[in-house]
Amino acid sequence: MNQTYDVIVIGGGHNGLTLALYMAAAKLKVLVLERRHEFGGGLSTEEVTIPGYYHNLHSNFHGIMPFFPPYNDFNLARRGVRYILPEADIGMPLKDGRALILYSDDRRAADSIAAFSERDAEEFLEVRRRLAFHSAEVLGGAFSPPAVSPRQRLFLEEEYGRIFGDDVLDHTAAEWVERHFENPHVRALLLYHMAICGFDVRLPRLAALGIGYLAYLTNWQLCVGGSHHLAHAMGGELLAQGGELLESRGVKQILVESNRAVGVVTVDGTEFRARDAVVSSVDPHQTFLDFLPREALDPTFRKKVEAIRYGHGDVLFGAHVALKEPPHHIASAGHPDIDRTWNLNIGYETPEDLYEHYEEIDRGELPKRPRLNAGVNTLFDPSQAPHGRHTALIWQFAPFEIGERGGAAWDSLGDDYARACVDAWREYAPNMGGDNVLAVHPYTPYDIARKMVNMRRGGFHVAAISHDQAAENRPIPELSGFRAPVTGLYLCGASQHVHGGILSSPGYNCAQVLAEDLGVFDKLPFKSKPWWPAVERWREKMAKIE
Amino acid sequence: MTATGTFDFIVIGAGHNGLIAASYLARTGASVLILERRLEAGGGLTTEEFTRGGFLHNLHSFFHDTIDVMPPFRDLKLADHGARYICPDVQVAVPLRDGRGYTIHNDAAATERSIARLSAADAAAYAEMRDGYREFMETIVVPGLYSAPPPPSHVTGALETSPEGADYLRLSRSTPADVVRATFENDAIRAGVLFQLAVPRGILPDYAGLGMVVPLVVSQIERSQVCVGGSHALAHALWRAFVSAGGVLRGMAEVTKIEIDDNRARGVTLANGEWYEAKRAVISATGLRQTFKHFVGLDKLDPKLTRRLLNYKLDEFSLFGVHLALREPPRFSAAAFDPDIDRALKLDLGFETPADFADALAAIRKRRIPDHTALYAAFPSLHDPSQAPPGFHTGLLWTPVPFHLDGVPGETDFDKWEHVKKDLLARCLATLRIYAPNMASDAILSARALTPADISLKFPNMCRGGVFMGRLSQDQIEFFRPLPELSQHRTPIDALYLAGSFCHPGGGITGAPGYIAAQVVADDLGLTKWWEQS
Repeated sequence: MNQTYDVIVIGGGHNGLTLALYMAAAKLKVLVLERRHEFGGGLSTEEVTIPGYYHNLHSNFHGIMPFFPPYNDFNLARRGVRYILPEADIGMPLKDGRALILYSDDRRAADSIAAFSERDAEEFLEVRRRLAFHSAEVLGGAFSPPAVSPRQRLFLEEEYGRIFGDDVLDHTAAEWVERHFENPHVRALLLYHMAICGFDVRLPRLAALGIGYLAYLTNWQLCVGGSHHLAHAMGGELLAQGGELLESRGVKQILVESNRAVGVVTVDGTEFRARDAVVSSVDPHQTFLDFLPREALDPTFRKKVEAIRYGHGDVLFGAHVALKEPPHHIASAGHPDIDRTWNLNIGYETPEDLYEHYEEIDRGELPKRPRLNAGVNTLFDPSQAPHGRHTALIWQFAPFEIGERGGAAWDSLGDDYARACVDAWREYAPNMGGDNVLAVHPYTPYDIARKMVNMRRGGFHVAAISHDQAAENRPIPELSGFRAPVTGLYLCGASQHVHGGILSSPGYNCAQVLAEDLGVFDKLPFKSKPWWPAVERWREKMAKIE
Repeated sequence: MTATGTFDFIVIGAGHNGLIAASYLARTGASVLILERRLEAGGGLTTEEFTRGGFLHNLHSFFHDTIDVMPPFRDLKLADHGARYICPDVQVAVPLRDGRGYTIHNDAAATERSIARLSAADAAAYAEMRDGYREFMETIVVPGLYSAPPPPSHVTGALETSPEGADYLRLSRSTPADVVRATFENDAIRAGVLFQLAVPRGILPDYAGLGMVVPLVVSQIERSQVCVGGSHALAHALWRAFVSAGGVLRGMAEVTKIEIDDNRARGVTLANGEWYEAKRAVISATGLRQTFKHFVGLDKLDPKLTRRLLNYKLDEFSLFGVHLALREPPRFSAAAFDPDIDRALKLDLGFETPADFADALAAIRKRRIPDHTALYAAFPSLHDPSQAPPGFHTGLLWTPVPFHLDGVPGETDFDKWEHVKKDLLARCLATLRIYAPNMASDAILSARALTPADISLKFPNMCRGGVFMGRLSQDQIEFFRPLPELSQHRTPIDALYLAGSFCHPGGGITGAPGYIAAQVVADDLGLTKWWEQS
């Protein structure tokens, strides 16, 4: 094995793989080092209940397929990746037997909303029309490096204002939704959609982000065969592009010589040298505080890194269920489609239901009455369970630490809480219990942090989303340009713009920055539709301000 | 109907044998597609966080014996593709209830010293068998693992002329129990050798004609090694070798049918309706019954062959596994007598005499869980710390059991095993505590069982939870595995070849069935061999 590379990537999650793919396509010699025994990070699919029942332990609902840049630029469909967009994409059954379903067809979604409020149905169509017009701009903003200087920042605010309306910038997502929609159930479903994107909808000045999510509201797509399939395809493509990928190679040190990152040392003591760059796709804490020698960094900068907040609004408890038959909801009597709706809100019937959970979590308590983000993949992709059987996914917002008992308390609470979550679903679908439930596997925030060490405090965005940790501030202003204060060291993980989730934007944005620095920008296969022209427009605007 | 894809070769099953056969063919420049029913490639090379995140558990194969002598490891440059191995000095430990025990080391002298503390005569016998057979094993037996099995007359003809060969033929007419009884005097030594043959190799003490495997174990020509990062790391290395050679692997692609036209395999159909065309050959690296009964269809075969196929004997026992996430490593009482016991790779806990063994087998053959729970145990993180979070450890306990259970309530085998799972898990932990008292509940963060029903659900080629994919009885080994007319990896269907572990030399991570299949295909189709054939 040749141990000198052009670019070394720390971490084989989808962002590390994205960055590596583009660098390999530019004919650089790339090595990806993954700490775990499997690559793919949050693209993780495992038989955790019973063999033959596949469960997506992390990302399940993929929100920007098929616009995911590496999917197009590297033709991953050719490697067997296939996505399904369920017709009834997101919805909620209500205890009173009604159901609100947002179909991938806006017209049908509006019809469902109209049963709750005609005015909301019209407003829904208006918001969707406005966002459709701007959706390329929304993606363009997500898939280009954010501005960094104060002047650029002002410009950015102006730009977001233009897209979303001047009145949005100072508001919380919750305020915006409550201003535009009148029916509590419609409000609840829209807020739920924003909340499961992983940010606290009560936080100030994040309305624009929430509205951005409405552009892709009914685009939750399912990776056939499980999310990990996408990782296999990305890994296979990386090898085909000439890149290298090694698992069980945790990094313990980034080598710095004359204030330049020149390689890494893995926990087994192997040294890998990098001629051009070391790119970390893991969290800033590990990158700067664990891997770099103390003297490599300015003390003020170190303090700022130490202060980055993890795990707020993006901490989830998971329960994975093996089922004989799929859930049969009471509400299906009047709304049969609810039994074939994919991304289900079980129990957040009004915004207050959501706020109550936020408050319990703020106090370090387990939500007493679980309300769920749930889905049954096997309704759409029978290959994920043995013939005729089903799997169900449950997510429940949760604290990482439970009061004074801390995160370790989860080890003894997980089983019971998973059962409580299934019971909460049973109130809406009476067959979610008894013999129909073959097995339940808890997956606690503490398990998440132990398995994916970069998801510190269990947060899947790696750095929590707040106005002061978003866009030009993500995760801190000094790092928002993807370059570290050590020459040749870059960041491409979920802590970077735009954020976590299976978007690939941190990897894609870092690829743009790194390719420019290395003079290989023209060699990149950036030809994705539909946002690349929008990315070019953003890039031009940013360049003019400099 | 238009094919979803057309390839020179289609390999069914991405276990290590399928990956190996496919990689040799891909590197000849042929286009090769592997279709795997599961999401992950690697078959028995399975590493999962079965208990908790960060704890790696090798659910099937946890050590590999033949890495040093396996031609594919060298030819496919698996070390360059990231496979790393650790070879623990202390290979086996047999702690005893009376506080004594012995250990088998890579270092022959250390093994003799340890055995001599129980029996000087057995130490000498061990050394004599090892020294007497080592060269024979190296030059005759190991190469034989990696070639298509010749007819018996060729074997006897070649062997009967030398004294070692003649003696090998003599042992081939005995049972392992007979050979062990004739060679060693101490019951614990005898039981230890028999256990090493049974649990990881599938050869039971009373198997007639299998006595010759005793010197294979004693000669230590095979050295058990742990794959760094878990056994699945070898699957990743094989995947890299295959994809780098231009191969295409599709996961979650369940083959339901091998399309046969004019007695020639033309391609395969998947459960989702896709069909892939094979221009040159289809190679099945799955199970015997899967291949012929499900994929080919018995109507395509001569009824006489069908009858013989259906009479292929499955494994006589399965394994009940317990996977442990531990806060501390086990400390064996017998380590006071022999400190090396605490650092052994494989431990035999509970089969202290051949009689213990005979009782357990009698119960298994009556479809009962043996009363006496003996364990084949290992603590992989002692050797490869990357398999557990810092400061923690992993453990695995296997106990031999029948697949079908009589007298247990439940409609299906799965239900029956769910019924007994909790109790048997507790009994396994109780046995462990007899030998390592610190393995109490405080030390155990999590314990989870993998039952024989789980095994067969996950791997349909491991029928009835049989990890050896067919009994290793005298009539089903070598030239007779699985049947003489199939033993050369060819089938009565043109362009259909076999590469599964139901072929010679059998199950386990040897890579041999896949390697031999690639040779046979290359010979038949006149492919240029880029490798030097063993």
